Amino acid sequence: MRSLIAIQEGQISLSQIQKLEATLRQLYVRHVGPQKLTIIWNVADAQHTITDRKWSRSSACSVAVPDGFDEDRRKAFLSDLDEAWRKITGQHPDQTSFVAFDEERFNEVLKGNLERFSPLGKMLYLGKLILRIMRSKRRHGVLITRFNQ
Amino acid sequence: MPLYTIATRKPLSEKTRFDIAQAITDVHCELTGAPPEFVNVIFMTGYRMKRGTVLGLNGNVRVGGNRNDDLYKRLNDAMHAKIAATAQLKRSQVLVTLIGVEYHWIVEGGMPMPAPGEEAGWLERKNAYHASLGIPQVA
Repeated sequence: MRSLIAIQEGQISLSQIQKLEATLRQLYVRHVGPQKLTIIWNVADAQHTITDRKWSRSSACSVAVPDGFDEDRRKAFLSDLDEAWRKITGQHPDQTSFVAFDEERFNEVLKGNLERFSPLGKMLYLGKLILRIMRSKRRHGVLITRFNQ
Repeated sequence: MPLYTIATRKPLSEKTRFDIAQAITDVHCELTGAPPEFVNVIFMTGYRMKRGTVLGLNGNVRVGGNRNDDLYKRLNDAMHAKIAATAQLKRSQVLVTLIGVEYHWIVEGGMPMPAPGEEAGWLERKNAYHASLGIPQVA
């Protein structure tokens, strides 16, 4: 299973990212299951995100869960994640978004993201993504990349 | 939610990014009735786009409630036209892909999101919930 998390440049420290990742993994095991979870952090440059018509400080965390996942368990997972996230980052609740996608829909979103690129563009993007996350894993223990290539 | 991501090869100026985000917010809110505080737009540059495409917009939008297939078609068409005009591109240079997301899969503002069409009551409940926790309105 995979999780993609969008955050803003300079908004969340590395130690907070590490704490958030550990918390997400714990909550995933507690509410969803023991599946392997790959978490990728995607950093947006300043003045590249807008919410409510203004330059934004929002974070968006999306996670795949098994198709047809029980709705009560999904709600409990998201609610615990929301609460734990805001305790760590101190963000306002209006600056956070959490989505637990069925795996099939999550894959559709990922595929849709890639479909706008040329065949070479997809290769370059995936190559750069792998390089960046491997380097980040070695240095920081978490997979961090950037929206801007 | 919605979350719109815009990919281009060349960086867009800050003003163009801002204007495109306003255009997206206008179209989304006008057609769906959702409040602007729901609308998120992220810009990403440095991507080699599909042949003929200059700007690729992908949107994850809530489904269910008072929305139907016709609305998504109109949303796609209007988004296409308004973004092309705002970015000064031909319509054929803009690619728009919308993917639906069940509203009950999402938590925002500290609460599960409402079904489309039930935003007004949800916003009141959310603001009351934040006030009860002593959380001020976001600056």
